Amino acid sequence: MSNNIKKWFSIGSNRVEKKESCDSGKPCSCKSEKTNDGFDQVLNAPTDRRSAIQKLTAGLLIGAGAVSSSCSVSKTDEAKEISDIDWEEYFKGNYKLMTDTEKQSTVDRLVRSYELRNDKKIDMSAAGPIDDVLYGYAFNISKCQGYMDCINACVEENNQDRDSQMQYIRIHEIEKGEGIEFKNGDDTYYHEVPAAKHFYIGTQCYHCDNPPCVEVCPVQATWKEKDGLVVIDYDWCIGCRYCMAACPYDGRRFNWKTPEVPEEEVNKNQHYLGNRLRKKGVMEKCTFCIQRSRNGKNPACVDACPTGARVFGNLLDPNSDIRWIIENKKVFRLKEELGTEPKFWYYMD
Amino acid sequence: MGVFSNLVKDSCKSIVHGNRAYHVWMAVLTFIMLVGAFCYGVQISEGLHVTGMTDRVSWGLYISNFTFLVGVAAAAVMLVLPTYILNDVDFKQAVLIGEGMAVAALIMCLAFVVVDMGGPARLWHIIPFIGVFNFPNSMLAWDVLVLNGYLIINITIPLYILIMRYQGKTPNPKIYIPGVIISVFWAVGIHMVTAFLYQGLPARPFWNTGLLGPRFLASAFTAGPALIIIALAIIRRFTDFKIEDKTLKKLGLVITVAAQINLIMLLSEFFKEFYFPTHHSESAHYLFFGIDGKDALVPWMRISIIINVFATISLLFHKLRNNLKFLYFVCGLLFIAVWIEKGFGLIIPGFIPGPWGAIVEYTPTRIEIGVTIGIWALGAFIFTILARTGVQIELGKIKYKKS
Amino acid sequence: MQRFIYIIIILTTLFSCKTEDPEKEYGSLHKRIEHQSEHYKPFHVQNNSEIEYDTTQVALDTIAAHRFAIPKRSSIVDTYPCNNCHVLSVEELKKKGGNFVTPKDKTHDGVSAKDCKSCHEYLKKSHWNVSLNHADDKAMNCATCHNQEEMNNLVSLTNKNINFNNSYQVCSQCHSTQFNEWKNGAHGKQLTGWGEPKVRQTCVGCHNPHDPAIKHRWPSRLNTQMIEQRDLE
Repeated sequence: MSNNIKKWFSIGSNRVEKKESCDSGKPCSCKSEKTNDGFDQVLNAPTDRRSAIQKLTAGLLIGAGAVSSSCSVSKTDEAKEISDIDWEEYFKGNYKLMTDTEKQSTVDRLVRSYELRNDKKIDMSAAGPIDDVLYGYAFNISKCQGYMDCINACVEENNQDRDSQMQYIRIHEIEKGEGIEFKNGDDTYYHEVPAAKHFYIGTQCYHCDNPPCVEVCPVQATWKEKDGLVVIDYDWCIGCRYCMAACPYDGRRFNWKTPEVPEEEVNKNQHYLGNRLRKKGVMEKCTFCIQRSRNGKNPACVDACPTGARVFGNLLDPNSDIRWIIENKKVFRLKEELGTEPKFWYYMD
Repeated sequence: MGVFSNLVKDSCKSIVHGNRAYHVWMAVLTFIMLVGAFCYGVQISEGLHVTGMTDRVSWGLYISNFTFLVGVAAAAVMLVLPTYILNDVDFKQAVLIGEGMAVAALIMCLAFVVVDMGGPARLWHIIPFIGVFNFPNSMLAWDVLVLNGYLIINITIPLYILIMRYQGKTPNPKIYIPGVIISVFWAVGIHMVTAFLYQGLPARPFWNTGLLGPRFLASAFTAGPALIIIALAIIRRFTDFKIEDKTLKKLGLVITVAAQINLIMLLSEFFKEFYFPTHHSESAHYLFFGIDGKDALVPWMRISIIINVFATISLLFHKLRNNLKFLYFVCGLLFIAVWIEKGFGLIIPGFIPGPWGAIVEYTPTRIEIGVTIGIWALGAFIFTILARTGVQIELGKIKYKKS
Repeated sequence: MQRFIYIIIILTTLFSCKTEDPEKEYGSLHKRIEHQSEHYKPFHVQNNSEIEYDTTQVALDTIAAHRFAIPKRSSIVDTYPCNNCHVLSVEELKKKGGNFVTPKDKTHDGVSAKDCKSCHEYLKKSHWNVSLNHADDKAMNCATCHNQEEMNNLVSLTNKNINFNNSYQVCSQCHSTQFNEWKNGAHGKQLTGWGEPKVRQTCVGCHNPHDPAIKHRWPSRLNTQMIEQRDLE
């Protein structure tokens, strides 16, 4: 029985076969002889020709739509391949539970699907977490001058929707003298920076160590990886937006419509859990540029910041910059009292 | 099982036959449902951006109605308790109507949840063992379980009773009483679980209070029986089904007590927010007084509180409460008041101000309103069908004839 | 009947206990970091192709954190080596009577001056208008940092020679706090990723030593969608 359950999490083809073994028409060993159970009622109930034909037609119509796209004679090979890929992608399981081979096949399918649809090649990785790594991030409030170069880099790196101007990062301009009080701040400023008597503080997903968003997702479409990154499987998300209600830091974004990225701006170095192109109705968020950080590079925002206000590193490395910062600078985290343990510290000079 | 198919056939016959008023009612409902279906079609093809929801206020009209209707569904079954456990005959007539209302309200709840989803085609991901079910961590998973379980209980128990009556037999108490007892506790359960959905989020201080669950129960027992009284009044007027005055008066008493408790809880919340306002009271401030000129919800809440207080106080007077016409009017008022207070008066302020203090107001679009009204029409449609069948079986107009 | 209900209640309570995430065995993030870093092995980055600079190693002390590379300033500054023009030391030039530039360079024929400012402030052709806007003239002048004997190099406050590429040694004399933060990674820009080996930007890579103040500029973008949302009545 457990074997069967495991198969249900795997890619569609296995599951389809499993279902067919107990389908209508064939004698089923799980049926008892004596009691008249559901199958019997449906199959052996006396029925007239009319209702039988009605039921058959209904069944055919339901199946025909799916079958026709893959078996139609008039469609081109490419279109058939696209439908095949879409079919398999619809029935695959949760990425977190896939084996490495399954992860690689879904990545291959997605790459192939993009190639067929857009005639361009992309590079998608399914790289897992590196051992002994726990990513941490620090933000120097004294250094941030409000340039928003980080936001530019993030939007380009992560293929975010240009139409709704989705931005994972927000930079808040707050007046000095009232503490770090965000409600008095403004994140839609547009004037010469840094403005006198103001300071700038950036927010994004903090990849909490005790993430409330992971706790509330009803389908476990979002989870915390071993290297500390909180990721989303975009194909598994059902779009209920409960995680968005649960996040105290405004870390998550929802695709209210199909995201549009101009073709020439698409970042072709993608990761399945990171910056691959999303669809409408799914959640997304900052992934600490998983496609870069799992390759030893810094996230795009860290690299883009001209003042060095952003620091990224491995918390488990006793010699890393981030470790020194949290052990030697006066660091704090936001909304600490909520117990979310964010891995994003703020400090000042 | 020939009985069941006969029951379906007979009830189908009774549904399509009726007087002019009945036909007009069903036709109007069907038209509204079609409008709702069209709006939903637009929403599916364009995505949820055709609604008024944004990244700041990510739950709107749909979830507001869902929250309210879970309460109605829960309360409908609370009438079951006195009838079967305390053997209070007065409520017996109300019970089948109440269960029918619970089924209709539950189907509306499920419909609201489905239309709110960003990816309804992927809803199979939530089915246990086929998808991944995040139980027991996620309260939404709990909600799925309890709501569907409640639906099953509320379909099977009345179905059993109806089939027995349909055949002219008496239903066996040993079969339905355990189910009824479970459904009573389950009713409290569904509403507490729905409250916990919001209560368990420390990110939203407006909801993160200990009183939210009990408040939900109190307001549910105000609005649910209010709707039942109105439904019974309509049934009384349009069918031969005898509903005694004392049934309605007893229901009125239930509502009186529940409305008072609801008001006391509301006062308690009010005190907590405004006696020593903190950063966490911003949401309540927005709801009742508006912030920085943004006060879209203030007139709604003023109306809701005024009619709530008026209705609660007027119900205290025996003379007024026992005047049935006045009772119907007050029930209508209470229903609307609780719909506002527990619907968008609860969900929207939870998101305003946003986590970094941003104030983004929410206005539902026409598509959203269209879908909402369509689902309400669906609920009314289902309730009419169930009530009509139930009433006609009780009256003996539909009888099982062995052919 | 009652027993049945009790059993259900007990089973529900047991079943609904939250499954503990094995990762949650630590009470806090701090404990997790402490515990998990016990068996840490240094991580070496595979590709370093993003570094375009010519780098030189810095080894400030024995701690691994203080071993990193910095870009070679000498490869970046076009006019290095300074000796191409400034062949003689300042002392020798003052004795000669003021011509600071080698006679080889025809464009500097006939130029005579008595002090740094006469070339560096008024004549546009030399050093592209280098004017010193760093502290006041009680604390700094050109000779504070630039080695008057060997014009290619820099000099410390006690007149010890400092290689042109190690300009951080000059800055750290006054700005010791920033230096400490810089060598540990809390100040300044990192040019490589988060792994080893590290390449940090030098002080002069961000701060023009002659005019170090950060300039004002406009933000890179404006989110009009957000503005629309907020003003929605």
